[in-house]
Amino acid sequence: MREVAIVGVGMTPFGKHPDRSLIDLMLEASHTALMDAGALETPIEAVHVGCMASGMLCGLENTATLLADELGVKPQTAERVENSAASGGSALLSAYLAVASGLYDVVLIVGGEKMRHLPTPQATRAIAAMTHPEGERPHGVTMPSLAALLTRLYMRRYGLTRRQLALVAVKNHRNALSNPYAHLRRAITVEDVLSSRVVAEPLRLFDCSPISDGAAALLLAPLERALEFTDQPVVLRGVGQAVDRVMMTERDDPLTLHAVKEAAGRALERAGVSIDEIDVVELHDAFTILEIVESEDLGLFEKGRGGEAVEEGLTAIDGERPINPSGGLKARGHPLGATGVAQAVEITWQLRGEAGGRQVREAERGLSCNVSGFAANAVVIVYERGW
Amino acid sequence: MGVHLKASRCRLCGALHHPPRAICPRCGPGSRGSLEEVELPDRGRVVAYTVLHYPPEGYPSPMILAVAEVGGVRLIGRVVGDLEAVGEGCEVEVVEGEGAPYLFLLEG
Repeated sequence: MREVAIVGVGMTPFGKHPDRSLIDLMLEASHTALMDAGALETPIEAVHVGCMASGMLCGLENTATLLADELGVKPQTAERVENSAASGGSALLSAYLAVASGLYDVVLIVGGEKMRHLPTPQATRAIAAMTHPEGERPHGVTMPSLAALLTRLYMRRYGLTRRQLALVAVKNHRNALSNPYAHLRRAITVEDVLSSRVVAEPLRLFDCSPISDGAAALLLAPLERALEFTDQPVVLRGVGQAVDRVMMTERDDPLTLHAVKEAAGRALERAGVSIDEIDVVELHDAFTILEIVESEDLGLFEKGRGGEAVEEGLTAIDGERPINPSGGLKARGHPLGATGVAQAVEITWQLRGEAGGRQVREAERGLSCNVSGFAANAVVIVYERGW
Repeated sequence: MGVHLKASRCRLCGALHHPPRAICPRCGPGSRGSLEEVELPDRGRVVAYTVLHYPPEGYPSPMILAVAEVGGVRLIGRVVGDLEAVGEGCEVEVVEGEGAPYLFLLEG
């Protein structure tokens, strides 16, 4: 296997783009990544698109070939990868394999989703298509309701407080203030979270990531060719993926996200580093509870300690274990298929030292965790400076 | 009237599964053909619940969703009954429901 590096990144601001199509958003992110790599004239051998629901949300399929056509490239491979909310992470993984194996050298990954044009109930229904078709969906189960049930179980076992949960949202909103690409750029307080409307008890609106439009893109090349494109290549040092039971209720212990734990173990082992050597983490906080549980299952904190860690400021940008300096899904926004790719874009900016007011000091190694379904499938990637 | 839901029991490992399935996820693909249909009891106990204020279209709001343990299987479903009365540990009866495979009816 060859070493693989990110040599160019780009993304659109996440948020509302009522006048732009999904392909238009993907095109902008792609073009920015190609410009970033100085690769506008370079033959692109493959285009991997991560997108969960272009059919249900936009009435559009065949997205990868259409994007290649619009972008004016003629790759050998163009295809879309669907792994629900981890479609972006999975697209990155399949592109990584293509380059690592030696099949292709220059591969473009684009994650994107357009969701805001639909009324919330319709968007919610499209998102709920990732729930179990017999065991969950006919009962009216939504993603927030699963997060609420997990929160109840977690609070009861580990004594997590409502305030600790709210502090996750407060931190991520604060981080997003210095992220020009973030959907929600306004500071909030614990009181704001606790007075926002109830979505699924005990979770409130500000515990949930917003419905967003947006796209993000990466250009990969073998590390041995990376300097043709950039003097700051970011190496994909280790990748890991794992699958768990689809329904939370069927897991032996729903309070451990085994997919996250196993994917992280694999990625760290392949990278040859421990979690203590990771300087910055972007994880999948679709709901505040998920940031806490994932932070434990990644190995950053002991089980049951995630809430206290947030309260003690350990996960702040200047803390010992910075999590989601971008604002995370909570404040950067969560255009489903774009999220896993945007996490890699953020880690790249962090390792290059280009993250501005949200820069984690001396970040040399990063980790991203993108999950699909209700954490039934996870993609974890370890990144390292390649210079 | 309580309903006895059909579940699958794996003859290899004894695990119960609902919804019924052809293959036991514990035992893997080799267990195809080794699952038998069994009936669950019509009563269970709430393990966790939430009150959903933004349910999908066509569902009542607010709506109680709960995980209940029914005969050794954890099921998710809607609870019919007083919002104030529901709690962890509450006994429920599994009943037929309109627009859902079953509902949980709060006892008492």
